[in-house]
Amino acid sequence: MIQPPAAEGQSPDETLYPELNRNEERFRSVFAHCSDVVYRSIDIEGKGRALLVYIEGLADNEGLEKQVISPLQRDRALTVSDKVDVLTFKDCLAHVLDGKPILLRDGQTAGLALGLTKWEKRGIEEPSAESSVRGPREGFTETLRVNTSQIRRIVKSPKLKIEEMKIGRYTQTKIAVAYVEGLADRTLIDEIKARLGRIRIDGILESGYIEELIEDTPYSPFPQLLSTERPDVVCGNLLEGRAAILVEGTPFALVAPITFFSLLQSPEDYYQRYIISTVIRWLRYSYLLFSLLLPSLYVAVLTFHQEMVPGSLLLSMASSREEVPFPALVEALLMEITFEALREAGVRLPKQVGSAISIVGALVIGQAAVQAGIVSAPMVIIVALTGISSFMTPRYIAGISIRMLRFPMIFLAGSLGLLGIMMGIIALVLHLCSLRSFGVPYLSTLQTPNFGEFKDVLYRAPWWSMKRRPRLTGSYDEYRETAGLKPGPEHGGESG
Amino acid sequence: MKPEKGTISGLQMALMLYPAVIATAFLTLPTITAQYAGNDLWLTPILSGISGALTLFLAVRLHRLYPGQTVIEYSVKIIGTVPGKIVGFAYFIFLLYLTGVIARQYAEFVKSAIMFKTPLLVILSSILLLAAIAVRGGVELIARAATILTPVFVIPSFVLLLLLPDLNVQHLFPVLEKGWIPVLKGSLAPNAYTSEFFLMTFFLPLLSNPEKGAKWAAVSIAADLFSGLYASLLVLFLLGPDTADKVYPVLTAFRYISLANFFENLEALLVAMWVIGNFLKLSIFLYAATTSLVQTLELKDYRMVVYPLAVWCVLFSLWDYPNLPSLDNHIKYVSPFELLAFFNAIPLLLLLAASARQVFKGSPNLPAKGKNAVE
Repeated sequence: MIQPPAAEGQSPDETLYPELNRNEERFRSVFAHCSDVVYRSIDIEGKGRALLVYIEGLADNEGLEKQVISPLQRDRALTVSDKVDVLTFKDCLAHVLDGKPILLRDGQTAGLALGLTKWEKRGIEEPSAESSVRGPREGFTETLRVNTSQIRRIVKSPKLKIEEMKIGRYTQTKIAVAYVEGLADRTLIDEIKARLGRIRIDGILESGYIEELIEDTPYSPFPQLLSTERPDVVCGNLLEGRAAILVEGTPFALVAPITFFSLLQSPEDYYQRYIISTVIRWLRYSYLLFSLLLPSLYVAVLTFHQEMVPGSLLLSMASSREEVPFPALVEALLMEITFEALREAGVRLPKQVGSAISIVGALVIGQAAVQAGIVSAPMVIIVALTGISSFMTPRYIAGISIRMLRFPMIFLAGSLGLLGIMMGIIALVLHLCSLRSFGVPYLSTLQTPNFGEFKDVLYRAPWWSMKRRPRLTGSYDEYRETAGLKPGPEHGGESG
Repeated sequence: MKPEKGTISGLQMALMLYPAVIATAFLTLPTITAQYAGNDLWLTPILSGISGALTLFLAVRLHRLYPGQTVIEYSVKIIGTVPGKIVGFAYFIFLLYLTGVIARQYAEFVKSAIMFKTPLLVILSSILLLAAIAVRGGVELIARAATILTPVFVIPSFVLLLLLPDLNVQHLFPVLEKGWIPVLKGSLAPNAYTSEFFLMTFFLPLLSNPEKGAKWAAVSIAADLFSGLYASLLVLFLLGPDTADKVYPVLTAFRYISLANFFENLEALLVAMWVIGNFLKLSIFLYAATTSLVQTLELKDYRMVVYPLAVWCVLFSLWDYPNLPSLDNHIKYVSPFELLAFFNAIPLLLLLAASARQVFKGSPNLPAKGKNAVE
């Protein structure tokens, strides 16, 4: 059986010894072969010895020198603001591994954990996977503290709660659950914490681990938690009564519970004027259907229902397909798979060779394949359109699920035509209807008898009319704004 | 015992029942009614309100006497264990067989409209598989799916309005040339179809707001009558006296649509609608059949019987009729009586028995008390 690392020493729960030498021995035996652990012994003027244990690269060397070592040598009080008494050996280890230097003194059974941590980290940058034209440009970073501070800077209220826990036997990754008390349903928070609490795993390297370990339906292509690297998205969701799960070491935070439509809403929808947002939202919805159905509809029509195509269009399509040796199904699969390969290659390739991909894609696969008569031109158009539309989904991960489902749809279309597509759609609707995200039905915004919920789905209502919060699991503070916010000439300020 | 704990809202029930009745009626009924009533066929959907009102009254009244119970459960309470179980089993057999008939109707249409070479078995089993998955997911899943799919089912029917320039209102006249008798004869089938609303007996006990059940069921029935009227009038105005010769007059109407010489042959839309409507219809009938069996035999788990029942439905629909004409004959001459017997006559007798029980026992609450009603 694998033991937790802390248990490799002798009985770590014990309190510290009064003798410094014995303590040091213990540290050295636990941290044997750990070349990055530093033991620095300090002679206090006439009062024996002190020992600093820390991990090089995680501790603030300059701070240690100025605020700990030199005052100690002159036997003055430490000027460190963040210091905690540590009584057991186990806690000492935890603090050291966390990056906090531990100060032990001869003759004392309590160590001091000093909050002098400092390590190299990436600065706040623009989120690369979720860019927007209008809206804040700050993204989360890999450091949990920076991320929570970004949230706190937006929601300045004591009601914003951030509860922390550690998961991962070896990584001891910090996980924070953030929510706004009074807006988020209490049972939801308890459920999230319970599900997080069940996790027993070696390590959490990314929030994706957490996502897979706590989602409601593991056998589903659809994400049941929203992952985002934008603090404004997290805060918007917190204010709607959802909870966020932040993970140390990744810029991607998780939001739960979500509905299918959360995946189709871009943060920009709420920053742009509502009329534009509504139009763009509809554009997005229709292209979502495109990205799912366009190739399969093309295959179905060409294979089974030629009579549906208007005559002149059918003629031009037929003439371009004259030389193509494959049936439409094979042609579609060939092109779609090639497109997916190009996309994946584009993500993995170093930036310098990225242009090679576009040349290969555009020239070889587009132009040359059509000229050689292997693929028909309409099919290239269809595949290109589908590709573009799949990137219109604001959430990359949702785009992928829809793109994946395109392939079974093409097979259904190739074998049963329109009937097959309808079967696929019905199966998809059934699946979506049975999905839940933390107890909230995936399509619930479309299925409540409360038509107010449509305000943020069928269109984006102006802010002055979105008076109620979306209903999720429980009942809570219902209104998010006061009545009568609609602007107009008669509602001027005091000067008007 | 309920097969599951799920609850649905009144609106969801209305959205489930609407396609459950209109899905098959929309396409074939105009032919049947036109064969009897000629150009007065549009009166028949209005007359089917008779059965609509009666069905609504029976289902709601019986549910009020025995709240939280389906026809399978209260028939035992009303007429005693053995006769009650027989009634329950009869409902099960009938509903299962009816699911087969509906599936066959669907498959014949799809085959003749778009999938000429596909074997019936494939068409039948694919839709019944989906219906079985839905039923296995529970009533909540069907209800949720209905809230999404019913609007998708309804919208294509508005495409028929593109026919407005071709409609000839003159086909309406002369009204009632041959008197009321042909119209009454013609209205038998619409009445029978409307009586299928009695299936609400399986959903009323599951409502989260039972007091609104009657209202939403009435809305659903009214929407159904209007849709029937809409289809009949459109078909009549477009095809006139030819309506009676067409197998699927609404399909013919869809084929007729031509917009800007570009959008033609839109029957694929109709097929899409037909598939969705029939999926809902089949899931609801299969659900009703499953519930009947589960409640008659008082099974603990309904899930294990769903797939076997779906396979039975496939067999029923393949064995029952050798070809389309015999199916049509059955729908025209036999189905109305079967449907009215099971969805109006038996419930009416049950209600009479329950009322008699009430009168003789002297207490209005007696049957609702459960056990002491059966003695």
